[in-house]
Amino acid sequence: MMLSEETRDGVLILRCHEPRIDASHAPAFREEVIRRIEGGPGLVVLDLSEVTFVDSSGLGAIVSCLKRLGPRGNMAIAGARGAVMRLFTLTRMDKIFSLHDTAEAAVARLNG
Amino acid sequence: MNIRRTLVALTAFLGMALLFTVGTQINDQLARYDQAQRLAASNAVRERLAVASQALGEERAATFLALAGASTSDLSEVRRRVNEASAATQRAIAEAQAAIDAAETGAAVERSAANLARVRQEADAAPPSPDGDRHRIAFEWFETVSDIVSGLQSLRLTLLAREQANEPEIAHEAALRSYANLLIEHLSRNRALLAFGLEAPSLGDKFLDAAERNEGRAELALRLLRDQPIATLGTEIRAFVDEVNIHHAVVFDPAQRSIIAGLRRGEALMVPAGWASTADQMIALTSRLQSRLFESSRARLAEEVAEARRAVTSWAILLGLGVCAVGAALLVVRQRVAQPLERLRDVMLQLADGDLSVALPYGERRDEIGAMSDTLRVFKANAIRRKRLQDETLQLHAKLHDAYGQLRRDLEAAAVIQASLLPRPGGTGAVAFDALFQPSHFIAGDTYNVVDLPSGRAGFFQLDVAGHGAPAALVSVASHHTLTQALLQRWRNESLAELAERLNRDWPEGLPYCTMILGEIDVATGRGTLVQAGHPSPLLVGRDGAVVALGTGGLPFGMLPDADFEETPFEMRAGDRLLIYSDGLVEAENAHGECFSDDRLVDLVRDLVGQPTPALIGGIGKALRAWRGSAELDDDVSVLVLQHPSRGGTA
Repeated sequence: MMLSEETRDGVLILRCHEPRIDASHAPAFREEVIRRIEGGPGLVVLDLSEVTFVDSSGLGAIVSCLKRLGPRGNMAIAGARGAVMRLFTLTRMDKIFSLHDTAEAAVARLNG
Repeated sequence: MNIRRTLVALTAFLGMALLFTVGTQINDQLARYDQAQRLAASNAVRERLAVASQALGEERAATFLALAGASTSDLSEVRRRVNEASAATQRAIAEAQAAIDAAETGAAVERSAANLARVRQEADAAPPSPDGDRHRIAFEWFETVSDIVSGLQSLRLTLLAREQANEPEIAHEAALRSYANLLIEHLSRNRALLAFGLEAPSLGDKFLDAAERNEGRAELALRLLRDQPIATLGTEIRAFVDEVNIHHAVVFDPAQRSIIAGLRRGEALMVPAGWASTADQMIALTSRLQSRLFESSRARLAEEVAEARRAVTSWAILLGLGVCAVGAALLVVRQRVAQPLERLRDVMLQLADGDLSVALPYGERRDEIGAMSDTLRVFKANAIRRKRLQDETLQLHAKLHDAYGQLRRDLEAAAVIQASLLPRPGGTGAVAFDALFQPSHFIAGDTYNVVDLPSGRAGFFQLDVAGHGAPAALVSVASHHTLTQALLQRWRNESLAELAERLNRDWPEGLPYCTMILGEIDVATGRGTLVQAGHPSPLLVGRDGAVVALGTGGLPFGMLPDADFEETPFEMRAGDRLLIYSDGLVEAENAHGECFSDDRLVDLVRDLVGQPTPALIGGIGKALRAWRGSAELDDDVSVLVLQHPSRGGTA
């Protein structure tokens, strides 16, 4: 169990407690996120405030979760910082996700 | 000391103890048997001696009376009886020789016989007329023969003293016989003397004194006979003793006393024939007692001999049984206990040595040995099962080893193929370049290429497929080919960004995405553009040490089909180098989990800026290994360095 979840204002907040989302964790991370968003409201905030490192496999897993939500759903990222934020910047993830400092901000954005 | 020796020693010890006990008994019984035989032999000789003494006493009387003229009886009969008794004595001595040493007795009897023969001749040679000479010869005869009789009696007593019986009955009987013999001798003497006295009443006091001495001795013998403890000897013998006593007291002694008294007075009160019959009767009674005693002793001794023989036989049989029992016990201990234990021990040792083919003995036995064998059977079955499992595991290991070897060979071959796709470093084409290429595991998701384009420009790319290993490597190889072909066959007015977008759109769904730098450079002017698709920003390294990161990022390639890509222009001057690298370089972690990082790379490049490109590449590889602490990598690393084409200063 690398995730904990919380629903706030109709938005599912998934908090990742695994500090590294790399090749060895990415498949399990993807499985778990998909399991938790399956049949949900479609609005998801992924809180990465505890994550210090994401590699290309981890990034692929996060993007595939967004794809899984489909056109009706939306996903925002909260708490990305340091190396994670640099990776998101380098790969222009801001074009795909909205990036926020806090989960609250992300929830507000998704409901806004 | 092992169990076998202990058991055998214990059994042998018990056996020895048993045999020793039985052997001691046999020895005792043999001694008893020997003693009984000696007593019997001695007894037989003594009996013959007594008979001979008595016969000699009769001959003495007959001859004495004949010489004295008191009788005219024929002597040949009494002499024959004496000779017979003497011969019988010699035979008995010869027979006894096996049991006792009777040689001396035999010699003495021999001498007596010779002595007797001599005095017989003297008697026969006596002058026929009844005068003084003839009387003298008669008395000499009487004395000599009495000495011979005494000699025979002392022989008897010597034998008796030597072979004394322990049993009181036999000892008493022997004593009784001695006294009876003594009694007979003195009765016999007086029978002769007094018969002669009745014929010739004027013989004088000296003669009568002798007769009275004889009477006294006979009475002494009789008293001794009477005083013996005869209660245990049986009623018959007691009756005989009583009869002898009564006859002596009532008939014989009064007659004897009255004759002696009459003769002292010079008158004969009784006829010689009457005295002779009285004395003979008394002698016969005593003789019967003696015979009966001999019979009884013979029977007792024969019984003793037989009993001793029976005892010896019994103990000998017991000894035989004991030997058999000890032998059987040793055999059982050896065959049923010691030997099976040793065999089971050997089998256990063989099993312990891993010899599972060993056959288990004694399985059919229903005792402890059989139980041990059954237990061993379980051990063996378990060992066989374990061995089989072990063999299977080993086979599995071998298969895994083979499979791994095959996989490794495949990967090594694939790595060779992948490496052969990469352009050869150097400057053969429009642009010079050098590269570092380090797959994390044989084959890489990274790849790069530098191609001369028809337009006279040089195209290049570096690509990093997400993930690593075989799937990433396959995508990488396919992408290498696709990109190379796309660069070579680009549409006339298509920009690099348009090319990237076209290829991105055609990217098959389900393949991993990749990050990429795709660029081209005009060899003549040094101007170029590049598309950055999620890949780390390339470094433009000036010959003066200035390092500039080109581009600010971009969406990865193959992630979203409708992605837009931007172009970043750049210009290389003489001596400038363009360094393109994959994230595996800056994300390589040291032992503390710390990333190598962009900043360290920039510093390193600045430090190495004076070096030619191969040395720069080598320096980066060396720094990476130092950072990692080993040559092993978690992610593929590739570094491509392009050198300004025409006016290369330091390359």
